[in-house]
Formats: sequence, C-alpha cells, structure tokens
Amino acid sequence: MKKIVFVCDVNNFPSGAFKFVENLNETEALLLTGAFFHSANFDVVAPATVEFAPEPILAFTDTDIKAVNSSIEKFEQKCKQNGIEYRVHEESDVFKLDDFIKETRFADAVVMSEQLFFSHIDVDQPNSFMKDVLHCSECPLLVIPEDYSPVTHITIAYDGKKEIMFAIKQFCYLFPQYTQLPTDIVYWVDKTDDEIPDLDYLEEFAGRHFSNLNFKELFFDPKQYIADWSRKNKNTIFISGSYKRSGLSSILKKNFVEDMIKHPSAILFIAHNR
Amino acid sequence: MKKILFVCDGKNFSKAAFQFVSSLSENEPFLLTGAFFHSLNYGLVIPNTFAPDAGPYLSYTEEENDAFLQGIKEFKEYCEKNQIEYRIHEESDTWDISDLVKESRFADFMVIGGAAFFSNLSDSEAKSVLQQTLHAAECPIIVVPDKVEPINEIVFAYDGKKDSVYALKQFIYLFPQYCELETTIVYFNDEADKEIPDLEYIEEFAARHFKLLNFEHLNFSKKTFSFWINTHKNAMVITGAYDRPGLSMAFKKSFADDIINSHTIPIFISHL
Repeated sequence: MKKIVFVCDVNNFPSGAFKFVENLNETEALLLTGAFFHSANFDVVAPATVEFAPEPILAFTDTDIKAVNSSIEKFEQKCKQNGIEYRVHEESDVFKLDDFIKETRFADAVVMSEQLFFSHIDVDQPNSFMKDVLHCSECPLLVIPEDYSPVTHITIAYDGKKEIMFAIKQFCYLFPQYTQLPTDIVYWVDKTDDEIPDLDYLEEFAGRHFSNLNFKELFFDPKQYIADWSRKNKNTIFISGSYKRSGLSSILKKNFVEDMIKHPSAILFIAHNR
Repeated sequence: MKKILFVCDGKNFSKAAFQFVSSLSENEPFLLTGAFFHSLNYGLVIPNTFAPDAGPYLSYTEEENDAFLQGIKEFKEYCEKNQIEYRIHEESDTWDISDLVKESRFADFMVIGGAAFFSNLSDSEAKSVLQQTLHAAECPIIVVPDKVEPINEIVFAYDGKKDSVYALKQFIYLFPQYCELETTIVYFNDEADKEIPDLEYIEEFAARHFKLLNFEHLNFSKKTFSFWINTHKNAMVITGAYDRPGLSMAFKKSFADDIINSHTIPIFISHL
C-alpha cells in the first residue's frame, strides 16, 4: 500500500487531482494524507518586508479558519465516499513548507493541482508557492490538470542525463500499472545529426520496464510548440527529470516544466534526486 | 523485469555475489550485466607516482588478461547454468569508473562481492576502490559477504534524515518480496534519552510497506557492533550512506564500512 500526500491550499480544492487519486485507489489501496496549506502561514504568503498590523491579519485568519474547516470537511467526505483511507495533517492551522518537506520524506508521492494551488493570490502558474513545493518535495510529484481524464499514454522527455533516468526509475517503481501503456521516449534535438544519447543503454533498460515502447526524435523547439503539444496529449503522463535550482541543464528542464504547467493538459510526473 | 549490474574485478569472480543474484531469479526474471573491472585501468589502482617500465607492465598485462578472460568465462557459465539472461560490458579492456557510472545509471541496482572485490590488492587499496565504486554509483548497491546465508530478516539503519528514508524507499520498490520478512528499524544513538526522530511518520510509512515491523533504539560503539551483528546473521541491512560529506553521513559511512568489512551480512546502500 502506498502513502500519497494530497497537497492543496484551503481556498482551492483540486477536483482533478482527487479524481486521479480515486483512480489510483482502484488498482491499489492507498493511505491519503491531506496536507492543507493555510494562507495564515505568513512565512509563505507575506513578503518579509510586510509591516506587522494585528487587525487585518486577525481578520484574515478568521476567514481562513472557515476555509480550512470547509476544505478539510470536503476532503474527508470525498475520501469516505470513495473508500480511501485518509489522514489530515494535524497541525493544519500552522502548516508550512517545513511540514510539507517532512510529509514528503515519509510518502511515496505527492499529488497536486496544475492550476489551482494558491491561484486566489497569483493565478499565473507556476506561481511562487507552486515553485516552492515542486522544488522542496523529497518524493516524486504528480501535477494534475483540473479537467483530468484517465491516463492512456506515457511520454518521457529524455536527454541522457542522470536526472531523467532517476525519474524514469521512480515512475516504474511507483506506477507499474502504467508501464503497460503506449510509451514514447522523446528526445528533442536542435540539429538533424543529433543522436539520442546512450540509446543502447536506454533501450535495454526501458525495454525491461515498459512493454509498449517507441523512441522519437523531435526536431523542434519544445518551448515554441509546447501549447500545441500539450493540447494533443491530454491523457498523457509526462515524465520529467528535474526541478532543481542549479545548473544550466536543470534550468532548461525547469523552464520546460514551467511551460508545460502554463499550458495545463497532460499530467506531469516530476522527480528529482536532491 | 529488472536490470541488475554484477560488478567484479577480472581476477576475483565472486561466487557468493553470484549465488545471491541467482537466488533473486526465483522471484522475477532479469537481465544481468557483467561489469568487470580490469586492473589495467591504471588510473584507478596504480598511484600516479608509479614510474613506467615496459617489462613489468607487459607481463602484468598478459597475466591480467588471462585472469580477466577466465572471470568472464566463469560468469557466462554460471549465467547459462542458472538460466539467467546476461550481457558482458563490451569495452571491458578499458573499463573504468566512468563506465561504471553509466552502467549504473541504466540499471536498477548493482551487486558486488565485498570480500573478493580487488582482493589481490592491499586492504587499503581494495577498500579505496570499493568506496569509489559505492560513491560513484547512480543506483543502489548490494555488497554481499563471502558466504551468503538465506535472508530472513531486514534491518533498516534509520536516523530520520532524508538519505536514510530515501534508501528505505528504494529497497521497498526493488525488493517487495523482502517486505514480508521480519523487519527492524534501528536508531543508533549514544544518548539513551534521545527519542527516535519522527517516529510517528516512519511508523506510518513503514507499516504501509512492511508486514512484521519492530523498532529498536541502540547505543552504538565498535564493541557493541560485533555483538549486534552476530545476532543478525541472516539479515540484510539497509543504509543511506555514501552520499555527500557531513557528520551524520560520516557515521553512516563508517557503519556501512564496518558491516562490509565484517564480511558477515549483505548490505543495501542507496544514496541520492
């Protein structure tokens, strides 16, 4: 049985992500931990320069507590309706990034919305809250669009680096049920003479884990065509290797992931090894 | 189906490591890649100050090649006898640590015979090569002792840090068959009043994956180690050692080294 962290803020309940969890629970019983980010967590939402003023903050807290209770209630109801074992993060009124990190250390995967996370504060995704969560998680994340529909296809953005191999391995171990689906390993090239790096090694490894495998070299700038690609790959889980802060290669990958989030359609699987 | 990397040096084929791998094939078929370290890889085993001399080098080469070919032959024979699908690393005559890194990137885990690995070198040189290998690997490693006993217990060396929990997760994903065994989560700490870190969290997570779970809080010293290890002769130990430096890591590394050097029980090492 796997332990999944369901992360959201108290103002925006992610229905697409919950549907995804419902589908997972049909193949294997899960423990779902609801981790509710509370907007009154000033470390996250208030800039360090903000001047402390008791009244507005107290009013904000009251509103927020109502939202927390209603959001948790909804989560509990949906879990009960769908026969999903669940737990709610107990210190939800002070939930912050450190708590999230600890939850992910002791979980197999995180599930969250591609559009809704703190969208009432910043609608332009990935906003800084989502970036923090993507960066800090100590287990793989699944970022789910709100109009989620069941997965029929897997796409792997391969570049020969250790980060993507790490992500592929984690995906295979966590979701063996999806390794039977048609799977494309895509290598985006700039020049026609570019070759897929370490293709023999990749074929040998991936051939042992995925039963319906295709290799594709795509000759386009993914950033330029990402919206179109994303729209055509709605029922796909897209596996990406990195959301780290340092290194040119990881910055490119990070931007790529961010572009995917800007055009929500496919599910993103993100795993990083730091 | 998994891909396993079998690592040994050309001169010292580890029958114990092979026996361990062979026992895994009963659960699931896999591809076994034989990766043979060649001692002619001067960068790894010969100090930089070594003065070149044509005569000794050439005789060393011939002797080395014979042993190397014998090691590969033995590996092939064992694989065929045990009906294990296999492959030999092709560039074996120039094999070095960067090849190992690449092989491990595209493998689920690797197996090494701890006692046999470069046993023709001095103790300190052999340990150094093994440590480099453990550090460089991009997949988990199982170091197998001289004699393999059937595993009937799992011991997880836990310290609350992300490295150790990461190692536990990798073990769970790779070896679900061992999650049925009796499992002890051990927290080594000299301060008796110090609590097991994040106990509720690790209990909740581990209980989802292991059926028979116990927790132990032990004071750890070199003296108690030999006593402790003798009471767990049929165990496999899981640790998150060999990552970046740091005090916690230094302890885990020394703990892992002690287990490897005891040549008594297999150890599963996984680092980020």
